[in-house]
Amino acid sequence: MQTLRWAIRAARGVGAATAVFLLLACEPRTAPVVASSANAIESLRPAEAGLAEKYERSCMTCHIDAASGAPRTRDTLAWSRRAVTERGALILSVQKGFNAMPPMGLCPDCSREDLGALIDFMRGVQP
Amino acid sequence: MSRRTRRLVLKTALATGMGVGVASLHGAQKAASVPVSAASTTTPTAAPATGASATSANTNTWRNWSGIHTCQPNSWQVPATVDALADLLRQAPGPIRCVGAGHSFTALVPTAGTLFSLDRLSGITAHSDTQATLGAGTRLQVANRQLDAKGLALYNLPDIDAQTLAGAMATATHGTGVKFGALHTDLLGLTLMTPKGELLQCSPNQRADVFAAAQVSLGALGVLTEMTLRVRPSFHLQRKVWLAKTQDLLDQAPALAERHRQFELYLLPFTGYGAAITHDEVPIGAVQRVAAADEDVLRDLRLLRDWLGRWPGLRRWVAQRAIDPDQTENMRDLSWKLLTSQRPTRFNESEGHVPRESGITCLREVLETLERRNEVFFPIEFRYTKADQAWLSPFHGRDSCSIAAHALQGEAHDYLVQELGPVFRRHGARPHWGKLHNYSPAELRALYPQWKRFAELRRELDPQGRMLTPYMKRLLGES
Repeated sequence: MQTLRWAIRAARGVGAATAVFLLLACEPRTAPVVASSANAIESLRPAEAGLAEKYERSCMTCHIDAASGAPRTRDTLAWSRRAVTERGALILSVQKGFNAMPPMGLCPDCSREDLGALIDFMRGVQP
Repeated sequence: MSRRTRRLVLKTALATGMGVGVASLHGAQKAASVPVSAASTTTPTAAPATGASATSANTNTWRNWSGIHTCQPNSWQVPATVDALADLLRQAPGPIRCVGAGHSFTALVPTAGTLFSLDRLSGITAHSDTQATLGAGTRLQVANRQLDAKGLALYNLPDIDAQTLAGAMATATHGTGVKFGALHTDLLGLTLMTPKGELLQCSPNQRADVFAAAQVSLGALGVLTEMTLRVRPSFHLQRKVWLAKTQDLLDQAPALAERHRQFELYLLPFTGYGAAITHDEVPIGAVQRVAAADEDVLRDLRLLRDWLGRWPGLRRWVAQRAIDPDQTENMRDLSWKLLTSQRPTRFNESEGHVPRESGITCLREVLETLERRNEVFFPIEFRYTKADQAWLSPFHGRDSCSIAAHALQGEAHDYLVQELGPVFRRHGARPHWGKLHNYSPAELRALYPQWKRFAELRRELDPQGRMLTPYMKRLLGES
């Protein structure tokens, strides 16, 4: 199936006040078949029970589905592409909220340590 | 917006070159942005009320999903048990408010008093083949996942699954389907904790009045702690999505709604097209999915707006030649996997629930009204919901159609209320409790036959008005 792609190419060399747009329906898209509902990512949990409970009711809401725009759990590439990658800065992003993630990331009872551990778990790194 | 899909399909061969100087409308939109309307910003981080099983949040700043409401409550409590909740509730400074996912666009939550999150009152506590009891703080996604692990599922679902059950019930959250009521119609019983810390068990057969009021309570009666919901064995749905001309879809919508388990419609402004989505139950079998492209589509519609917004005729001409109505999309999966969506693009929204017989006419007028504004690009959502008897349900006593319009977060959204409000009122719409509206208490009283009874019961359960945030006071007309 093809999907809508309004591909725009601003013609270079044309006058600065004039933009030339090409509306192209392009990128024939091969429908990628996604794994069934019980995929591997959904079954991952932090080892510590309390943290696993917080992860399940908070982080999983977005971080297991790429459609959310949030980096998926254990998707190291997606996590490495974040503008912020330093642990302390990531914790601060959660505390303050970032894009569609509200302050505290749907985990109002998470401590700073909890947030750090959850981030470490999701991006698959050791603190 | 709503369910996944809004996937426009274009003809690959189209390559339209336009030597036209197109000034970006996007810049104008930015300038027209409505500033954030901060609600309560008062005392920062006071010492939290504590208890052996209560945990205080380590930040007291709350913000709703779209970012138009924020507050700093005196304290934000996350009780771990019902007993802890009772202790806290008795002594917490008001106004007291429960918060779920913050997905409401109205100022239901902001308070300078005490916020409660029910996140620790989460999960299934009992179940059978036909019903399940869950903590009121269970998020819909968690409920779906835990029910699925037991081979169970809810009958119907709304578009977003981040809400807590309590939050979804409080605002009459709904999905689509002429045979299905909003989520609260699946309630078989609930437990309400009054502001005095008393627990009331309610069902259609026990404190029936309190049950009918608490099904959709706006969070004004107390705190829901637990609820029992009607469930069924897990099931698969087949989803079909296709594009068609707006006029054709408007003509066919009533029949499609009757023919399919679930039907919904999205009109794409300034294109002359819309997307239809149906869901029908199929035997459990192989999963068939394609990656969601909603965000791509939304971005494309926005770009079309940004570049050609000043020339609606050209915008429509281009869109009509780019859209390929012959393409369809089919998916098959567990019901909860298809009925709910992720919405990374934030927006503000208004939704009116009109009598079903007025649905199509009202939708036409909404489209016409929105297409007077060149900045509009979000699909207009149209869904069906069955009547129920909850006192403050927008579907009380009448089968309804729900019409929702959206504006990108950060852009002007006043028009959703100022310009669509008159259209909705002409058709007797009741506003979605969690979506932008400016209905007065007098208007609401006229629209809800049980409004007075609800007010009396609310005063009985909360005589001091501790559950009334400033917005709630205005909404309910309480001084």
